[in-house]
Amino acid sequence: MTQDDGAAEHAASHHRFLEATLPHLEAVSRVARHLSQNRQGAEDLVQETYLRAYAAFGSHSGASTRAWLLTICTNLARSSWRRQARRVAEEPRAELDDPGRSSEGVEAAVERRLDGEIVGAALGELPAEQRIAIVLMDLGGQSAAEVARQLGCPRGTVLARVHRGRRRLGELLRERGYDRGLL
Amino acid sequence: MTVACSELRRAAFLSGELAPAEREAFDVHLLECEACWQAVQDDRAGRAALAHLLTPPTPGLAERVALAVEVAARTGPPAPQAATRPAPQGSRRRLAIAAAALAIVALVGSLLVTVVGRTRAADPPAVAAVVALASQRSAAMPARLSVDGRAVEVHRYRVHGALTLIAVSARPFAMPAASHVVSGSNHRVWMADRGSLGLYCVNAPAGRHSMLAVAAMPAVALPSALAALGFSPA
Repeated sequence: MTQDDGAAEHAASHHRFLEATLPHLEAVSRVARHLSQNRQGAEDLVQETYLRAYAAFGSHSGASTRAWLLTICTNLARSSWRRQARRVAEEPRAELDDPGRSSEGVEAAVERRLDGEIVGAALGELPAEQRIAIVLMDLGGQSAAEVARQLGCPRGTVLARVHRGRRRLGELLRERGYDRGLL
Repeated sequence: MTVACSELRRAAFLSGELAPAEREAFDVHLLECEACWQAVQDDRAGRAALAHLLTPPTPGLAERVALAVEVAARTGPPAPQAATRPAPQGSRRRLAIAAAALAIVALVGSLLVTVVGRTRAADPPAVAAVVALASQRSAAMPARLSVDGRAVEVHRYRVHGALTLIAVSARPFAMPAASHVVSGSNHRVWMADRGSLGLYCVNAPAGRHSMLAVAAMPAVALPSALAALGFSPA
């Protein structure tokens, strides 16, 4: 097979790959956002997840594509590839930020973003094992059994970590007097 | 039934996994145990707070991911095969027919690809990525691509009335086969034409960003058009 033949096969198969994986982009991006240091790092992680997944699509059994993608995402986040990656200089990226839902007012949009930032900051303070379990289960929308398989630990351990993490999150927000519709 | 304080039991209660009798007993326990009651309240508050993080992806992310995959599909090395699943019994004949059909399609496909391949060798991945992006007017900008482990930042401008993509990267853009060097012989500045698109690249020395411009104008017209906007090879 020539290199051009290979490229043609790629072009034919990537549509099928995208059909199977793009419906899970929301879950992947949520998980990546909270396994990364910043928004740009999260987008890099999402893109790299999809590229790795595409390269490995042949070995994917077809069962739980979301769990498969999130496993790749989590492993990438743990590895050092982002530290080694050479980066283009950061620049203001206001145009890529979420401008807020068009149906809500500016005040509501700002409030929603503030809520997210406060909760996100508190989540970032949790011990890594609790934070990862919460991110994969509550933000990634997975079951405790799926998360247990990804993390290689018993299901009960996942439930306990999630419980401890949520408790600590609730405590942190309560200690900070943050009770706007949360507590 | 009396219930002892147990983190695992609380976790099972909160995830709705206790049997009805156990759940009822734990409800009673909660009325008597301040520590467990507070722990359950905090867990529920934490879970409610997490709802604020269920945000949609960044606008344009799906398009950028799809583009990155498309570029990988066009330029990447091994083609991922269809995921194989166990074939049901009695399907061998259908598989044989399908295999024969695929062989014919592959033969025709290889002939077509050979014809196309002779007209122009594949561009280097980063160059192909930017060219592919230039053909997508709806692509969100600026776009950040990850190609072969390198980051490429792409911005869109209007230069002399033509939409122009400016891609920058910390690594040089490899010179395509069908292109020509503009200055010197070290491939630092090169130009190429791809159909209606002109490509103009200025590769910077190590430590500085290289630039690739792609616009719907002849490549030879790009340097002066960009210079008018303040872009220069310096």
